[in-house]
Amino acid sequence: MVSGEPSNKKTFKYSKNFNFFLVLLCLILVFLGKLDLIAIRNFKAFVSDFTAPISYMFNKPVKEIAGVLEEVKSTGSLRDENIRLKSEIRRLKVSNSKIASNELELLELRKLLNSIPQNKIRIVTGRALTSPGGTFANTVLINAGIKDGIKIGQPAISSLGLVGYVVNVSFNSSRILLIIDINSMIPAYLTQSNWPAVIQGQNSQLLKIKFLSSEATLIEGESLETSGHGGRLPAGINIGNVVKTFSGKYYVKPSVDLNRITYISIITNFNLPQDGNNNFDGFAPMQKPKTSLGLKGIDSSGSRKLENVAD
Amino acid sequence: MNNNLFFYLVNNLSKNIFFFIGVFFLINIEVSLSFFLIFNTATPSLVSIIIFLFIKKFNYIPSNLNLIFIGLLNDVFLGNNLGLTSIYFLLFKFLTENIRINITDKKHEEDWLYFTIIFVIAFTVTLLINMLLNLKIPDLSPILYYIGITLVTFPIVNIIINSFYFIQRLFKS
Repeated sequence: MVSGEPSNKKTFKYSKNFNFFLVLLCLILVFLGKLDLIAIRNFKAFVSDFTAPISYMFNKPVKEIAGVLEEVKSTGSLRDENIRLKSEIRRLKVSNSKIASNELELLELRKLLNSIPQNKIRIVTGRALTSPGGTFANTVLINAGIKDGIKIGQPAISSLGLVGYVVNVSFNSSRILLIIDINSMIPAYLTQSNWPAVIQGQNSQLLKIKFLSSEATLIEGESLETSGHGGRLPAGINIGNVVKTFSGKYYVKPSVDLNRITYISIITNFNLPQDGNNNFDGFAPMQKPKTSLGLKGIDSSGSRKLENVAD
Repeated sequence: MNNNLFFYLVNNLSKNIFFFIGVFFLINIEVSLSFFLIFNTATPSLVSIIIFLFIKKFNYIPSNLNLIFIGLLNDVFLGNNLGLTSIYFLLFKFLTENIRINITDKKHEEDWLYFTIIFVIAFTVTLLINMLLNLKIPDLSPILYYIGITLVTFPIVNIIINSFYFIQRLFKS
């Protein structure tokens, strides 16, 4: 018989002890993986590189189907969407004219203060090969790697703001740890009150605000940006907005929809701090003074205009 | 005797390879499901459902090494700690083989209860290991959603497999 089993079948069956031994082996592997050994990192990079095209092959049709379904669903609300977009255009036109004048004012003030010009960022953009579908980890694989100048730790952004940072890189692909992951901690500051805080992921759609001063008052809708403290990320990248939940707690909603991300850019010319090197160029926001003289800008006659800034 | 042993090994090896390839594709499908709005928070664990059905329905017990490799691959795909899913799969298989309950008379209800108990135990153990590793407590809502959506998907997958059987038998008859 071809499918016949040998008489000493028991010898081929794993004993329960062997099962426990295997579980123990996996546990050791998990702890070794946590130590971030180079061999394990290289193994992960090799497997990611090898399986990236297969993942893309599977993801592409599913993504297309999901897109078609969403488009079909959205046709019902086209009229409302049109009205909303028209009002949005009007609002943007107003803010655009304000931005133009603010930009000129900023340039002028920088010139007056003899401010050090910011380095132009160099980015490499890659296509997201996977979606962040994990329960324990939220990462995305992109099709750009060492060959494109990507290194571990470099920040990943999209047109809307911060996405995360590179945690593993292979020759053709890189893995990005998203800001919503539980292991992600981003030094940030509140843009209106300038209070610094740390934004921590919690494996859900909202981010936790940690280490915020008890004096700080959170405003719903207030935006947060990276502060650059610690030198891991550049300052001034948009993270998200403060939202209040039903329980009355404040969280941060990322400005980037991480589930629908297609392209991710990596800032490749951002230098990470070396050990023992403390010359990082972080942004340390100053607290808003209660009532003091503030430089408001330059008036139409070209002279400096000083006025009292109310809190 | 030697001939029998050789064929037994070849038979087992081919089964394991087919199982590995099948589950590899399933992992990819599972990951890509998160593009759908309903699975944005979490995707159902299709691999767990298939492993359970293979053991209970088709009497095929996947080898431990196979499960370890599948787990490692899943971890690399999702960026998990390497070996975490392997532990989950090994526990899941061990519990599926050893837990015996007799609550209801109906076979399909019993299957669902079996699956619920096994899945929740295996997942809780893995979750605790993960929490121990990160020294952080994650938000529970995506985890509960993950458990819920998997438990809802189980009977759907079961019905699909049963209907395939039914159509197959219909054609044969």
